[in-house]
Amino acid sequence: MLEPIIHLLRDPVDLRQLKIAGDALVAESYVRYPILEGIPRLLAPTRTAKEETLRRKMQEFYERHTFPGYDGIDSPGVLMDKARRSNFGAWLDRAIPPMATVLEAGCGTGQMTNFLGLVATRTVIGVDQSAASLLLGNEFAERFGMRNVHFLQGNIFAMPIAERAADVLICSGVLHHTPDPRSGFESLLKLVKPGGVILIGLYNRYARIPLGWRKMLFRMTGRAFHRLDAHLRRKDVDASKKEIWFADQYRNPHESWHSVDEVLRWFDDAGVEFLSAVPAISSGVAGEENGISLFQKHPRGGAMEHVARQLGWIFTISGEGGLFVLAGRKA
Amino acid sequence: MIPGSRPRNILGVSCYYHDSATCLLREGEIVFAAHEERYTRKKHDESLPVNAVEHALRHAGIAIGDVDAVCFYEKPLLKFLDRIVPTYIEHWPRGFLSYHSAMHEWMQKKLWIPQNIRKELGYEGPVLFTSHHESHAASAYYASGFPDSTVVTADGVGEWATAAIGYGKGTDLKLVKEIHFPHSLGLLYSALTYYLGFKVNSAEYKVMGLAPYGEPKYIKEMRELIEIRDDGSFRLNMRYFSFEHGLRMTGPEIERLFGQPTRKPEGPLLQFHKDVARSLQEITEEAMLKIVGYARQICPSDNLCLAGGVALNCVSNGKILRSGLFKEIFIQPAAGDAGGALGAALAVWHREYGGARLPKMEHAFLGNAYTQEEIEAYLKEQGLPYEKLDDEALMETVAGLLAGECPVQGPETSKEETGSRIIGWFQGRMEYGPRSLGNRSILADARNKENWRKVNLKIKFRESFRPFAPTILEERVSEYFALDRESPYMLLVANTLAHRRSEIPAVTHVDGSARVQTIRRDQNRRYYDLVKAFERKTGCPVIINTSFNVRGEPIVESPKDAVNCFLHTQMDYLVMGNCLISKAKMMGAAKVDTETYLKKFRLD
Repeated sequence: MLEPIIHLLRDPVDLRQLKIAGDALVAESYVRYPILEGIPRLLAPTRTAKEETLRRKMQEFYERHTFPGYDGIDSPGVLMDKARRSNFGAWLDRAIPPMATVLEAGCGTGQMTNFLGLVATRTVIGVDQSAASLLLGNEFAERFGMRNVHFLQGNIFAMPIAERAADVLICSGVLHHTPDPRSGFESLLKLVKPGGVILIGLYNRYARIPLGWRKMLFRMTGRAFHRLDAHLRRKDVDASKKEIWFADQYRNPHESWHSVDEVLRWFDDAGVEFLSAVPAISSGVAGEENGISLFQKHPRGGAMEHVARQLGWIFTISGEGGLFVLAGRKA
Repeated sequence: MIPGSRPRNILGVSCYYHDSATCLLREGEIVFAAHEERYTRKKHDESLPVNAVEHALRHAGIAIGDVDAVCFYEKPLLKFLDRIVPTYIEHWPRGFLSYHSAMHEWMQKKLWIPQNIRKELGYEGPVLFTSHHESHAASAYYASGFPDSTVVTADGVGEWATAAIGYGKGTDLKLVKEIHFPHSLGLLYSALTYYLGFKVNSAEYKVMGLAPYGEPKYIKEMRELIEIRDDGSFRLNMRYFSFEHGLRMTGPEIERLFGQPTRKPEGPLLQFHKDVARSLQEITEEAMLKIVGYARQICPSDNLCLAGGVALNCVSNGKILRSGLFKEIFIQPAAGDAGGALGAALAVWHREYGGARLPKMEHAFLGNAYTQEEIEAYLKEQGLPYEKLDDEALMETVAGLLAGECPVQGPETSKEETGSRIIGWFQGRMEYGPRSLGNRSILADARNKENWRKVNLKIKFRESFRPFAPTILEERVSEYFALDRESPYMLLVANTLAHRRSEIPAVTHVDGSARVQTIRRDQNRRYYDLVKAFERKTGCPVIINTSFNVRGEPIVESPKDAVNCFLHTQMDYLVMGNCLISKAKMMGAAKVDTETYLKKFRLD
């Protein structure tokens, strides 16, 4: 059911329009992109050979590790409960207007994509390079008749999406696994409408420090000290999930760390107005008793405050991966 | 009221246990009543009902300074010294952990209720107290309109009492007999609810809904848990329970008795669990029947008033009605602890102010309302397309949508646009009590089996075994159900007549019963007119009425909550005041928007 979004799709190579032709999408250049198992395969290579080699390595990794799975999520209600428990999901859902077009770049198994798609009036598109992950997400969407949710296989450095298509673009936990996060951000920004919102989630330079140490220690000692990781200690998570967590956090082929001010600089240079951060990087605004209003303009805070907050993150968000998200509005 | 004097305002408050609420009486008349959870959006919120009080005052157009008395629905000091402390002393050192956290709570807030009320509400007048079961009894008797009545209340536990029998005549109401902690029908029900893997203090109704699917195979075991004497008094066998000293409701003893471990919340529901639920339901009904029978002996009357959490068990209420012990029965719609706010206020009105009786409480639409202007302002602010219809056109259109008429016939009408629709219905004043009764409701066609599945799985996101309550025009109730009277609060269960069962499958339980709500035009004009319009179209005076909420959240309060729930579920239409909002239209509009937008940019 691609008809409702075909006007938003593009040939990832030349950015021209695509047409539906049976079980494939046909480009103006007559290239056929097949639709296999309900997912259009629009993957195109990254610009340089070296970067493409790394991307392939990442793709292989995520074709093998599909994380997080849908075990026990057998109804939209359960997904709703799960997303609400993570505050970010609930706040994001509250902030995104009902009729928005939402694009998630690097959606993985699509739990966030599907959750945001529970509002049937939104158009939600999830793009990822791992077909194995996308199949899990698509299976859920199809089972519950969520016809407003679409999954595409694609490369975030050659997105199969029209420029200025999205009211909201989410790219969380993805760019730090790419060779050039900043240019990734800049090319994704093109897909956002002027006045639209972009949310970027990255590993934090400070919050990731304890994990870096553990990573070094684990490399030297094998499994002996795995209990030093808070997630691996958890009793409510079974062994196979811990294995995937371990692989994702400690064995990932590539990762980079970023500071708040670094990303704020990307925003400034690209003409993106800072809106909010999770965790917060400054004081809140009025009416936030029930959580952060993500799309409302927050005070930016100073560099010193940012350093202090990020040092604090070592003790707060570090245990769950040390990811922080900044939201900004495109001019 | 003495001519020229100011009307007297009494504010009832219940909080700090579960389901906090407030009720405002003006010269004995119920001006406003609402649950705090609806405003804070925290289910079963137990905090001091600051928001509900604010809405009550705003609705009445008065300030907190105009309130003559605030009454609290139980006596905290009595509860503390008489029950909590001795129970812990008796069981020491067992229960140290639960003791520690309970004491903390008592010291922090429960013993400081008058101070907290004064501080948080900015109130300076007197704070009065009524006992827990006195509040429940008053909430039923004084609202019943009966000249005299036998009164029975039963719930988990008040200060000491877990059930009480009383008699009311005129403005006098006395409790004559009580059953004391730890022997409690409410706690038995809660303990078994816990054993069956459901949430205590909130999912008891699920156990009740599960019961018809089981057989009463465990009556013998139930009698081991509870001994019921002929006078209706009962004793729990405390070997099996640990709520006296523990944080858990039951212990390993109960697992040994039934030979199965406690079900995990997300674990599978087996026939065994259904059989236990059925057995529990039977024993509860037996106990309630004996209690009311005994109550009739010691406090004879033709009328019966029921309140307290156990009175929300509509199956047992139906049995009491059919037993023929009483001619008339009144059940307080806010029978749980939230209803204590109303009872406390009414008790004080009669006891302290010698006030006159109020007429029977005919409906529970006692919360706040939103005007048509407020609703439209919100929709415009959110940029949601809507259609505004006058009353007559609205009822006609909505009834047509419910019945599956197609609004726009044409070649472009797709399959999804035909068939009966599910409608969010948001009108007038919010309900007091745990049920949606036609002002904050999700409505659907009860004749359609597909609707049943869809509402359960795609709107309520819940277990498929749960049936829906029917709303029926009161004048036609006997044509569909084995019921010869009103049931405006969905608190009576009656059998669907055999020849009607196939006509309204979505509201009929496997055992043929239904949890009936009757409606009269004087109770709720708009809702009545809608069902009437549906009847004119289809000949059927019954529709599905289920509470308007997202899974795990309280019932919607404002247009914002309603829109949020509408968008997060697969409801087709939302009706707020005179506005009709169509999801299909919204999706169409969104698509046209992006297409024109992209075209605009293609030029550069």
